[in-house]
Amino acid sequence: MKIYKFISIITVLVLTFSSCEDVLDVLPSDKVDTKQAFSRIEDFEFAVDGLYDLIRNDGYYESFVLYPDIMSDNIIQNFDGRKSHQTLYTWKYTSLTSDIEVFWANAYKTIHGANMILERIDAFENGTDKQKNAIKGEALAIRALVHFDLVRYFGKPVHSSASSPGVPYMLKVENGKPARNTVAQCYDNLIADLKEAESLLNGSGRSNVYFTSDAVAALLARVYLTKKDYPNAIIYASKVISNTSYELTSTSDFDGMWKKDNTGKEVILKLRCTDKEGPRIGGLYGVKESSEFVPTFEFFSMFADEDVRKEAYFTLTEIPSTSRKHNFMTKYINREGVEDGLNLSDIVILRLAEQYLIRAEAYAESDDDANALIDLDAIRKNRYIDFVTGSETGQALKDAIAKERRLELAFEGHRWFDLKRKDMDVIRNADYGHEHDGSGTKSTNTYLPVSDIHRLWPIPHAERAINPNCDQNDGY
Amino acid sequence: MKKKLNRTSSFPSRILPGINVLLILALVSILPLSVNGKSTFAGSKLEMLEGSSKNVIIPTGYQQAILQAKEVKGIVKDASGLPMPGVNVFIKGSQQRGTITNENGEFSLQGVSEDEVLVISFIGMKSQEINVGNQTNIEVVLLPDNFEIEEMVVVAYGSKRKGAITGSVDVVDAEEFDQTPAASFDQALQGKAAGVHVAQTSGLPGAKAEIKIRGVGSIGNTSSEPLFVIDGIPTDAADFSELNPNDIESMSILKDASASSLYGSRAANGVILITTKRGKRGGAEFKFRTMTGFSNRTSDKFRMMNSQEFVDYEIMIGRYTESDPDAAKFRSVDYSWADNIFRTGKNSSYELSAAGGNEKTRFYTSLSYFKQDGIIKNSDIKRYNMRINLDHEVNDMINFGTNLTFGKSHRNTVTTSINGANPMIAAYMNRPYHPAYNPDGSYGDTHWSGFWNIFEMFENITQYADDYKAMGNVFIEISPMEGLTIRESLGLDLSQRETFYYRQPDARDVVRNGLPSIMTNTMYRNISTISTTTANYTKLFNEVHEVKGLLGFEVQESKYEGFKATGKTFPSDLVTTLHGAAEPSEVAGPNSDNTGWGLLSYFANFSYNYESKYMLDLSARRDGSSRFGVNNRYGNFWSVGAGWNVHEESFIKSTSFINRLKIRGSVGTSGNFDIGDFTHLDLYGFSGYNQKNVSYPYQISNPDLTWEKNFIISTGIDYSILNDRVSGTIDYYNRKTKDLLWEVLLSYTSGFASRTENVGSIRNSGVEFSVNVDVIDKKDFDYSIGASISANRNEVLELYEGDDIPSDGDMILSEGHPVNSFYLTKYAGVNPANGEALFYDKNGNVSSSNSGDLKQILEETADPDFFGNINNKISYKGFELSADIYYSVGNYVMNGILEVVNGDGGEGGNQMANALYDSWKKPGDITEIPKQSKDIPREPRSTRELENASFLRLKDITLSYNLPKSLVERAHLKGVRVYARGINLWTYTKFSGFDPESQYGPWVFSYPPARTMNFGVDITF
Repeated sequence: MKIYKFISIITVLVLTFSSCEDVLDVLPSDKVDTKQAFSRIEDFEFAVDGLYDLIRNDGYYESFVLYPDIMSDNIIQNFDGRKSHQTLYTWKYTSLTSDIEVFWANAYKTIHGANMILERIDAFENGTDKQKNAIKGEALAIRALVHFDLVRYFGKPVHSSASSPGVPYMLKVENGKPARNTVAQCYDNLIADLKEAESLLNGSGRSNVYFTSDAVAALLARVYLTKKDYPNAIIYASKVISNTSYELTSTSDFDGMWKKDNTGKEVILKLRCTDKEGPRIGGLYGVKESSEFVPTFEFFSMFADEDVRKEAYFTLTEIPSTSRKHNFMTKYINREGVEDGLNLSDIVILRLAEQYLIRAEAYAESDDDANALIDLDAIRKNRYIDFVTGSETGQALKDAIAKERRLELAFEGHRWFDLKRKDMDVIRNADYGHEHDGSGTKSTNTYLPVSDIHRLWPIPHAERAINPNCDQNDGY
Repeated sequence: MKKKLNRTSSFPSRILPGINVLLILALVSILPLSVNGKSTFAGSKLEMLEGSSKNVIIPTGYQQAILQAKEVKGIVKDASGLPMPGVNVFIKGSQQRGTITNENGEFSLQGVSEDEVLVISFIGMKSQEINVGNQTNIEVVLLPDNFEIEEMVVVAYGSKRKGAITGSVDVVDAEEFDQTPAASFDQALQGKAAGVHVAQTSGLPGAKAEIKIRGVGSIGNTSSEPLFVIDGIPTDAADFSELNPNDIESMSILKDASASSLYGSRAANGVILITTKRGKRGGAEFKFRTMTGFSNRTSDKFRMMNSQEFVDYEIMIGRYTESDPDAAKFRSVDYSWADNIFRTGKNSSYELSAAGGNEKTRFYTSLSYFKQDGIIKNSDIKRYNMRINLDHEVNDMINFGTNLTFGKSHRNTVTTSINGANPMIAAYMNRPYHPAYNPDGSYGDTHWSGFWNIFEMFENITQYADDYKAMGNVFIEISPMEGLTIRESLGLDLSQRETFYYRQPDARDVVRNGLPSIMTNTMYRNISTISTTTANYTKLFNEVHEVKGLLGFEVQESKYEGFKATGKTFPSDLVTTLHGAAEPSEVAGPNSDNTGWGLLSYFANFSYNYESKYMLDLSARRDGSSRFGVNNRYGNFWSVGAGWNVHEESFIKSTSFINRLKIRGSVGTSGNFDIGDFTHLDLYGFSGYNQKNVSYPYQISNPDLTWEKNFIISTGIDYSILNDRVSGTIDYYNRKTKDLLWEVLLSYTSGFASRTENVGSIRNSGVEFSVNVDVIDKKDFDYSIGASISANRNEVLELYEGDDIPSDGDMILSEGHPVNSFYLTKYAGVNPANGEALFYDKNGNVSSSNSGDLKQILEETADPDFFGNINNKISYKGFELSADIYYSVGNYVMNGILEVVNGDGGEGGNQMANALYDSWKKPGDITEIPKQSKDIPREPRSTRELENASFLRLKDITLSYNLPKSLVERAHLKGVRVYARGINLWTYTKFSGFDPESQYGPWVFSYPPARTMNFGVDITF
């Protein structure tokens, strides 16, 4: 009797406890286990859209409106500022420079995010082909874009050094120690990704804050121009230019393209920035004591008074505490129509003007001056209020295209790569200082020849410390 | 399939099995059961016994027998003939029918029949059984039970006789915590147990102490604090300020594997078991206690400059010239910020408690209020507590009880930020010629950006935290057969914190500096439930083989959740809720993570004891934790302990010199599961893009992630000699911790910078001595002295790929060196020729700048070479004087604030006076302080700021007086005790900072501990 009762109690207890195992399955409530993060087609859409968030912030595209310009000849440091990013401006970067490490880290974080999607989307059984194609296409396009940016910073120019080290091209999710692919392999991979993306995205119907097939074509035009593959550059630029969805902004609307939320029909791909989500990309240029960078007087002087860009890009202001006047760069100074629009502007990645300039350059390099001039004039007509049809040919035409490209795409992340693509030295005017009239403190870092090791960024030490297979660039 | 968590309720649902067990046990208790072979309740119907004032439930079958029987009276005395109150007297076979003796040792029982047997029992005495027969007046003499009288010690999942313990356990009794004039009672543990290092790092009211048992067991952010278990419920030391220290009966500190490995994956850094008070049989005793006191800074060695000196100094460093009109103006004003920011803090407390019970039911209940004003203005704590602990015996098979406490605290806090909003920084660094108030009474400006004036901030910035804690358990114990006890306990621990920050519209930052008025409310709640089921079996074979077994099952769940809301721009100071905000701008925030964990454990203990001479103790625990990686869900922990009571051997028994001598040793494992709730998982996080939800890879998994493993070998001797006048303990331990948690860096191409892995190992080893001597032991005069000394040495054995890990605070982890080794450039003094600071490089050459790679690993560490205490106790008649001295020797401190209060001209705030008087001024000057100049910044930190912070401190001195019984009884009271108590009254140290126990580091101006004088009275009635 006694023993029987005792045994029955113990039996019940044991049965009771064996049901407790699930106490160990605790999951966070503000994040999800990756196993559950791709359960629905919407989850894939969240993950794809998350890629735009990743490239928008944290020193990636936020810095693209800055680094390629401050490492070149458009900008002089405001020596009264806090001297942010000074190692980039003075070309003193080393493998320990945090700006470079942050870029590298976020670029690969984005690539990892794209690969997580790409490894799962084909096997996913719910969702229509259209949905899945759109997801896959955008992930491929972003993977290509990021590798393209990486190889442009860390690798030698593709047209002359295709077999030199590029960057590790990550085609799958991998926690390993990959070596660098060659520059040529990187371009082959990213062009393949982009071509697949273009067909997958055909008719996806998303707006220009996401990758569309038009944006992929526009990016391909840029890639081919970088490769100096002019026929393909012309083919892809033409695809976009002939698309009636896009139009160049006219002289009367130009200022509004920047201040009014990058509206109009010119922008092909941009990253949306809002007051709640950020980032505020105008912050380092802004009109205040802490403004870090101002245009060089030489560059400022290249803008004619009849050029609508001059007023749209620059504002002359005196800083009370220093009593100095500067031509502040105010392209991104304020978004109109929102409560707190200071320094807020969308980050433009691709717009139609660049496509005209790509095709103009490609025609000119292919000795088709007539078509090159038509494209160049298309830009000039919409920028100069005193426009008259041009008549340049030969080298003069090429120079005119290059000048227009520099003026048109200033502060949008092109100048460093243009100089690199064209094997041109970086030459800053040593005679002018940082004030509005060229007076003031002069830059002491004025010359970076093509041969300098700093034309390539160093692979971050933090990567090499873990991954010795990732060879360093020469000289670092 | 997508797995969903039940998020509708914050109350963990996994406690249901425990409730099942409770129900089963309750059911068993009312079902017919056999007791001692006799079916007591068989066929009976339960009903109330009419006419019984006690409302005892008596089975109907008994009524007739009771009414026919007679009354038995008696008296119980001890061996010396004194009457014994509170003795249990009951009729054998029915615990329900019994009574206890009154104050005169007398008892009477109604309805006893002649064939029944009375059982007379009292804790510590041998029980007696008396056949009633024809007796009606019985006299009983109870003799002490030597086996039973031995002190019982609370150990993991139960209690054991002190002599039978094989592990290293220190017990700290209630009186050590009584009326501690601090909100968080862990401070009172300092100097109470050997090997337990306690540092009172902050004097902020409500701040907790830092406790380390037997060295540092972890690196990085992993906690080295012990596990705290209150009445069986593991809890967080951060919540101690919501508990009433006077409710504590005892603390057991489990230091080695034999003592602690039953707590498995949480025991690596030791376990502190806290037991609260319970009622005793025999009448209610009420106690009213109150105290009040005041506190001040422990020391004020920082001699800052006055205005005259500071202006002289500013001229010296080249900030002004003598002819500057400001110079004369500034000299005319002198204001001491420190004198006005510090104050005399007051504390007071009131407590009413009652304890008692009858033969069936016992209770302890208390109500208390504690208030403490800190020594810095605007910092204080108010605490309210209540507790009730109940025990009830249903019959001699079943008893149940409950412990329940609720506490609330409200504290006003001051900021610890690194600027003039921190009152410590304002006190020392505000310039003395910037007075707090202008002549017109308005707030003055300071040199801080924003012109912050701390008094203006005290008025216009409100910061407080409200903490609530509810904690308790319900338990039931049944003994279905002799020696076997099955116990189920269901516990709940709920802590809730609400914080409030309000920068009011009148604040200077709003009115003058253009910042918005802002209010932030946060609410965090931690709720933990635990179900513990144990079965205990004890059996004595052949009078010499004592066998004990314990089987246990435990499931615990903890959930943490919270939110944060912010509003900006408020119309007026009168509006003090978020609803008044013009911009209700933000919900959630960086600290709003909702997390939780679960722990599922099986454990067992077996002990064998031969004639109280030889002891063997085996423990095992298997823990499954939600925090461990899927490949390592369960961990096994074990220990083996052995003991030999040498004094029980006949060859020792014959000597009168040795009264007690125990040699014990143990070996075993334990773990530290402080590894973060979801560190092992692959996770996706969420954000927004284009005002839509987006997700992104957040964390890379480590499916192999596991707890830190601790392996301890420990051995010790407990001794008592010379008629028990000299007693103590000697211990040695060697503990190796491996699989330390560390963020191992990954190739960025993986998408992640790092993940947490188990790498590296450290070793702690040490010795502990303690001794207690009854110097004088007379009738009215006692004097005893106790002392302890503990020394711990540790060494980093292995790190990830052998790489050194420099940490914040100028320390480094390096293989072959102690854990808290400093890593600094050696300071070489001042060059007499030009006043420059000089430094040694690694080769001993002198360099004039501390830049580049001059740092070296020093022998100095932040841990003491040895520490301990000396406690004196003298009592004479009703007077008692106790004095506890605590010391720590050989610990170094990076006194980083020197960098800013001795800034060599590079800092804008007020400076120490020695910078003016003792600095280098002309060639040939020999000094330690370099040339002061506004243009030459102070060199980075070196051993110039590293100081020996050894100290000896009169931690606690108390003089108390128990009023004579004759006087007390005339007032119809049971006892009156009055006392005066001083905390930190005197400190000997060469350390130059605020206090040697405070936290230090670069720019760390922490709230210093206080010196406190208290007066109190305890009245028992």
